Parts: sequence; C-alpha cells; structure tokens
Amino acid sequence: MTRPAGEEAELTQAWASPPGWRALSAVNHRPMGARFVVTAFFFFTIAGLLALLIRTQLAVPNNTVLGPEAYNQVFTMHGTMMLFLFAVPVLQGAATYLLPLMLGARDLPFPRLGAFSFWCYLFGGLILLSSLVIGAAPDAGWFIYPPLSGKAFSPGINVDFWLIGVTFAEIAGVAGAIELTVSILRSRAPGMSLSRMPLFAWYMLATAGMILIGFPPLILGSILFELERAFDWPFFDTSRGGDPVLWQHLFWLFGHPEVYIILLPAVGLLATFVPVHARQPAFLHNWLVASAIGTGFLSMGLWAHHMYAVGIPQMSLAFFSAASSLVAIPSGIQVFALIATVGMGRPVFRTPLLFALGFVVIFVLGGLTGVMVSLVPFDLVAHDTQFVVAHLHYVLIGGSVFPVLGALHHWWPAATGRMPSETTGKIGFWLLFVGFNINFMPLHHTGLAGMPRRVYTYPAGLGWEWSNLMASAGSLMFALGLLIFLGGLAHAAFRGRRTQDDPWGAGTLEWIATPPPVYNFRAVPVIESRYPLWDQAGLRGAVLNGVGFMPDPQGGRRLAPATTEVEAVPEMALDLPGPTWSPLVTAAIFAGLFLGILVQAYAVAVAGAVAAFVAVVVWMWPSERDHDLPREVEAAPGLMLPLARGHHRSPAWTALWVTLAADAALYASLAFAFFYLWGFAAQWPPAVVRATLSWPAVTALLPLVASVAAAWLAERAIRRDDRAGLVRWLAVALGTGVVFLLLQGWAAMALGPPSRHARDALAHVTWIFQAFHLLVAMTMAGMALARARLGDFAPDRHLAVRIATRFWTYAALLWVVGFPLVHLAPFLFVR
Amino acid sequence: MTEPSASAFRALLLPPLLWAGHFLAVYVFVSLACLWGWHRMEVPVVQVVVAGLTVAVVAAVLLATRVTARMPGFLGRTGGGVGLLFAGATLVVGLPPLLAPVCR
Repeated sequence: MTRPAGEEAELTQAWASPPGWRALSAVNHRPMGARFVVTAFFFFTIAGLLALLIRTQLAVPNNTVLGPEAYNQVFTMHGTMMLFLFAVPVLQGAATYLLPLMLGARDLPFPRLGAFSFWCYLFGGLILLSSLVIGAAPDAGWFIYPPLSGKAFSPGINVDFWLIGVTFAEIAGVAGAIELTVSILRSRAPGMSLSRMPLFAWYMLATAGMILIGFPPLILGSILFELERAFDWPFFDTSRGGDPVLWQHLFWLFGHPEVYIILLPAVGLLATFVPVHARQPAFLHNWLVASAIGTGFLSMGLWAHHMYAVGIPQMSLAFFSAASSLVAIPSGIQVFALIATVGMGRPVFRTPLLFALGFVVIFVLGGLTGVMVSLVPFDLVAHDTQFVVAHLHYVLIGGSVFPVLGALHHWWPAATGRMPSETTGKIGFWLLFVGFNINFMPLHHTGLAGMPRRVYTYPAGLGWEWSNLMASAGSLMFALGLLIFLGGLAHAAFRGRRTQDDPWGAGTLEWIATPPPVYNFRAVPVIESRYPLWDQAGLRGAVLNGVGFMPDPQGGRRLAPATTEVEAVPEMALDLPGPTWSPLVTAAIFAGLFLGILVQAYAVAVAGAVAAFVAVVVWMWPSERDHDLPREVEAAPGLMLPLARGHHRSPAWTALWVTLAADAALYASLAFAFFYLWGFAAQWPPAVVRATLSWPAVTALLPLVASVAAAWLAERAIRRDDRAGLVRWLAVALGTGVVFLLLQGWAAMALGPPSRHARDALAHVTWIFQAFHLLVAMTMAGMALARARLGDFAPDRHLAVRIATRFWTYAALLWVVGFPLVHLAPFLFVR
Repeated sequence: MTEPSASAFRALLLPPLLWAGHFLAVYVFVSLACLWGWHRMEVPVVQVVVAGLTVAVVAAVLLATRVTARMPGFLGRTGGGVGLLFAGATLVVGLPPLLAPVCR
C-alpha cells in the first residue's frame, strides 16, 4: 500500500528538534542520550587526568608532586567523578539513546522527564567540579565517612560540595530509572513480548529496579548528613545518640548495588553486540535473563561486605560473606554465556569483539579477587590496601569501561552514519588492555606487601617501588590507548566512510536504517522474533515504506503506540510533547536551590524552593484539557486506539507506582535509621526522656483519615460524571489536609529540639517527610480542583485525580509507620 | 506460541522477593534476639526460628518455581532458573545462624 505524499515530511517536521541554541529545548531521546554520553566522557576525562596525577605522585617513593591535602582532594574527586558522574550516567545515556530504537519505539514515554534528568546530572556534576576549580574539593574519600567528614574534622564546605552535587546527580539517576522502567514495560513495539525483548532491555530493566531501590538510601543519608553539618542534627554523632556506622550502612546500601548498577547494563550491551560479531544468537538467553534478575536482587543483600573491618557482629559477617559468595553464580553464568556465544558462532574479531574478550579476561580476574575479599579472614588482611584498589579497578574498568568502549565502536555507525576505523580501534584496544594490566596487576602485590590505600607517599625500602613504578607506566599506556581510541572515533564522526544500512549485519531494530531518521521508524513495526532483522524477511522494506503502526502524524502530532507490559499488545496511543524549556528551567531552579543550601544562603534556598514549586506546577499544567482531547486516533488501517493522555491506564499510571516504590525505599531507609540507632547507638535512649504523645498528635489522625476519604469520594464523583461533586470533595480533602498539617506542626512543637539527640532529630525528619508528601498530594489535588472548575475531566479521563488520590493515600499510609516512630518513640525505643 | 500472562511474570519475581523477605526477616530477628538476650535461653530459640523460617521459605520458593516452570516457553525456562538460584540462595542465608555461634 502506498502512503500519502508528504506524510514522511510531516513526520519529520513533527519530530524535529529546533536548530541553533534553541536545540537546548529538545527533549527527543537521541539528543538527550548523546548529551549524557558526551558529558559523561567529559567528566571521565577529568577524572582520568586526576588518576594520572595520582599515579605520577606514587611512581616513586617520597614524591612531592602533590602534597597530602591536594592528594586527598584528587583521589576523592577521582573516585567520586568516576562512579557518580561517569559510570552510571554513561550507561543511562546509552540506554536513553538505544532503548527506544531497540524496542521499536519512537521515543521514551516521558521525554521531558528524560531531559530534566540530564540537566540535573549536568548541573550536579558542574557543582561538584566547581569545587575542584576553587580548591575546595571533597577530601574525605569517595564515601566521605564520618566522623572524618563531620563538621569537627572537615569544617570547610568541601564535604558539602560532595553531598549537594552527588544528591543532585542521584535524583537525576532516579528520574532516569523511572523513565526507563516505564519505557521498557509500556512502549515496546507491538508483538515484542517479554520473551522477544532484546537482552539489553532486560538488563536495563533490572538495573533501573536496582537504582529505584538502591539510590534512595544514599539520598536519605546525604540529606541527614547535610542536616547534621548545617544545623547540628546529630545523626552520626556518637555523643548524642548517633552513630557514624549508620552512614556506612546507608552508603553501602547504595554502594554495593552501585557496582552491579554499573555492571549489568554493560553486560547487557555485550549480550547485544557480541551475538552480532559472533553471528550467533546469544547462547543461554533465558539464563542470561535469570542471571540479570538474580544479580539485581542478590546485590541488594551484600552491602555490609564493605564493612567487615568496622567491627560488626560475627553473625552479620557470616550472613554477608555467604550472600557475597552467592553472587558469583549468576555472574559466572553470564560470563560463560558470552564465551559460549562466541565459541559456538562464526566470530569476526573486529574491535567490539576484542573489547568483549577483554571484558571476559579482566572481569573474571576481578571476580576471582572479589570472591577472595568476600571471605572475612582474607578481607581483614587485605582491607584498605592496594590489593582492594586492584580488585575494584579490575571489576569496574573490566566490567564497565571495556564494554562501553566496545559498544561505542559497535553503535558508532548508528549514531553518526559513518564507520569507525578498525585500525585505531584495535591499536587503542591493545594499548588499553596491556596498559590496564601493567597498571593494576602489580597493585595486587603492592597491597599484599602491605601498602595501604589513600596514602600520598611512601618511604623507600619497603619493596613497593618496582610495582608502583610499573603501575604508573601502565597508566600512561592506558591513557595513550584511550586517546587513540576516542580520537579515532572522533575522526570517524567527521571523516569516516559513510555506512550502508546495518553495516554489521545485526538482528535488532536499531539497525533498520543507519543512521535512523529523526522519528526512528517510518511506521512502528510488528515484532515476531528476538532478532527481527534476521528472522523477519521484508521487515526493513515494510517499515521504510510506512507499513506498520502510526505512519501518519495526524496533524503533526508525535504519536507512538503504548503496549501492555507482558505481551506488548497495542493498548493506546501516546501523544508525546515536543521541544520545551520546562526541564532546563526547572533543573536550573533546583540548582539554585541546592547552591543556596551549599553556601548557607538560606534566603536564596527558600526563594529557590518557592520557584521550584511554581516551575513544577507550570510543567504539570496540561496544554490541552483532557476533556477536549480526541478519544481515539487511528493506529493502523482499521485499528483505533484510545489516546493515552488522561487515560487511566496510560504509562503515567505505571510511572506512579514505580515512583512510589523509590519513595518507599527512601522512607524504609529512614525507618532503618531509627531501628539501627535503637539497636546499636551507644547513647540510646536519650538521657532526657520526655513524654511526647500530646493530644494534637492523636487528634490529627482524624482529619488525616477524613482527607483520604474525601479524596476517594472525589474520584468516585468524577467516575459518575459528577464534576461538582469532584470539586466539592477535593475542597473537603484540601481543608482537612490543612487541619492535619496544623495539628501535625503543633504536635511537633512538643518534640525535643532536633539538635539534642539523634532520636529527636530523626523524629523531626520523619514528620517533615510525611508533611512534605501530604503537601505534594495537596498540590496535585489543588491542580485537579482548578482543572475541574475549568470544566476538565470526564468519567473515562481523569488520570490526574486518580494519581492525586493514590498519592494522598500513600502519604497517609506513611504515617502508619511514622506515627509510632515519632510519637511513641520514648515508649518503644528503650532497651 | 502461547503468550505468557502478567501473573506468570509476577510468579517469575516471587522467588527473589521471597529470598529478600527471608533475608530481612532472619537478619532483623537475629539482631533483635541478640539485643534482647534470647540466645541465652535454654531452648535454642534463635536457631529453631531461623531453621523453621528457612525451611518454610525454601518450600515456598520451590512451590513458586514449580508453578512458573510449568509455563510454556520463555517464562517457564527463565522462571525455573530463577527459582533454583533463589532456593539455593535462601538456604545459604539461613545457614550461618545454624552453623556459627550467634550473638558474638
């Protein structure tokens, strides 16, 4: 069937991003993904230069290139930037760029959220980087353990830079994870059931889940730590009921999953491009999926294996040692499957495959030393030595940098339309591989010979000279390899040979057109195989000729199908937003808010908070009333699909539950802090015990329950097409919500001052946390009320009301846990 | 090919969720029991509770695995793998309190 003339041009116009400086308002997934990757490599370059400084300093004994203060800042910033500003964001960028293409989607389901995530990441990274420029970089290690990083020992704003910058970057990570989860679950091409989903999507789904659960503990820890440093709330102060080990738990609850958050997407990339160069479908596909899921869950139970030397109970050591050894099983399956895919195929040893084999060698070596340090007796010997430095670099560089570089080479034609040079690719690989091993292999010896980490120099005569010198020479070779490899790619982007479609002969959808057009797919294809370009003859031609879903933009709209989670049955039509400044402006306002907190200019911070509130409300205010939207659009000849916007099953509904999962993880971390200090803090309970169960605290429960009931009655009213009832009940909910907050604030005045004891400080954080959530729910309800008064919503289109109701209920449920923690604490937390 | 259902997908995630619940339950229970001095009782309460919990959860994981493994195609095979992995993982987490002295 021939498509109408001019349809393709209209499609191009609908999906185009503005030119020039206005390109900053673009929200399409490919500009966003590319910006993530380029920015991540910018930070990688700086962190790499810091690594060269470290190796220069340690090359010979008693060196004086860096003094101790500068050295502390350099190694802290190296680790922080590599882990927070490179390793996770580069993979998030890869996913943002590649996933919609692989899934047969035209874009991510929330393009503005993706753009917001990028801007938050950029601003957070720049805040952190600026500390280096002004000579006030964090200097207490990438994990900033208190009490060293507390106000007493780190009085400057160095640590505050870390807390603010990292929290900002973490928020970007969570926003990205929500976006990717919903994208994978709801925007796959029709027919791409879970069983046909590319492995990279499976790995990203597991990773996004880990980010949603793993990042919140660190976000909470950073908030608590900043409160301690700025306002003297003593969460980690032993003399007032706190405990520095609590920080270690919160940090590593994030920190260990972080290793797998970095590793899993990288393995997902390998599992996608290795079959292409091996010319063989991935071996043990099902086991790879099972291993990704298994690694994701198991990695959540390993955090304390970074704390063996802290002095935690023997039973805890046994638990975490056992769990740590277990993770070798799914890791081993994944490595085996990759080797077997190459072994059973007809491999062509181009650059990407070399990087894959480099991964296998280096990561397996890192995994073996990982099993060694998971055993308590060995860890107690090797802890805080250069052996651990060697181990973690084998895992992280082998597990992340090598796959990412291989992936860059593999997908370069898709991104630029030009072929990268095999010569510079292979020279770069061998320099990187050999340089890496010369750099880090000797550090195993240096560590076992007793050299500790994080020392700025060492005396001669301890047997550490040759291995340090060798390591430093290796680091130069590694840097040279990187320069050649990345330089080759950059050269290819402008001067490389133009590629034909699908130059590697791959089987996944991103290679239908090389490079893909701005709208990704002329028509969204129907998928019947895991490797559709290998198995579905004629698919490319059909897609390019507009045979499939939604070839017609229907008036210049950005249309794409939304499908069911498991079977990918077309369910509704997404009408995605185009270029907008909202994400950039909102992220910039948040940056102002964070900077205000950083320099303790609280008037600026308060102004920033108000501006952020306004920016979010403006962002959320719909450009068209749900009531006025067309009910259905034509998805394919003879197939009408309901429009997703405002629909109760739209991807925004999925996003709500994913967001609540992350928020619940944050709250669970707060409850954990209560229970941890109760069980282990030295000064607990407080010397001054004061009954805090005041009558306002108990009375407040009544309006809280009433407000939830009113919210649900409001939703019931609109379901019966009773808009007046909706307005009335929402007003009741808002009124009772205000009464609850007033009583809540009154009850809080009866609590002890937050700087008196950790229990008091936690009680204040808990009620503020709950009040904040209720305020968010009230804002949602207030916006819904305003829209209802303007005549919006219909019985089948009132998603904003449904989301407000669920969020309100969630905010109230928080108090089921929070009320006993805050108001019954003096009676509960005695021991 | 029979398309998998949403409930089968949920069943796929059940073994790791059971493992996580068991991990938390055992860890929190042993910590509290040590805090409250239950390990000094004549009856080995800690060991009995942990052993009982572990057996129950392993049984539940295997049951869930049996359900998913019967599904045709991809989810059946993947579910079988996930189930076996987490049955073993649950056992490994339950063993330390039975093999090593608790509360030291």
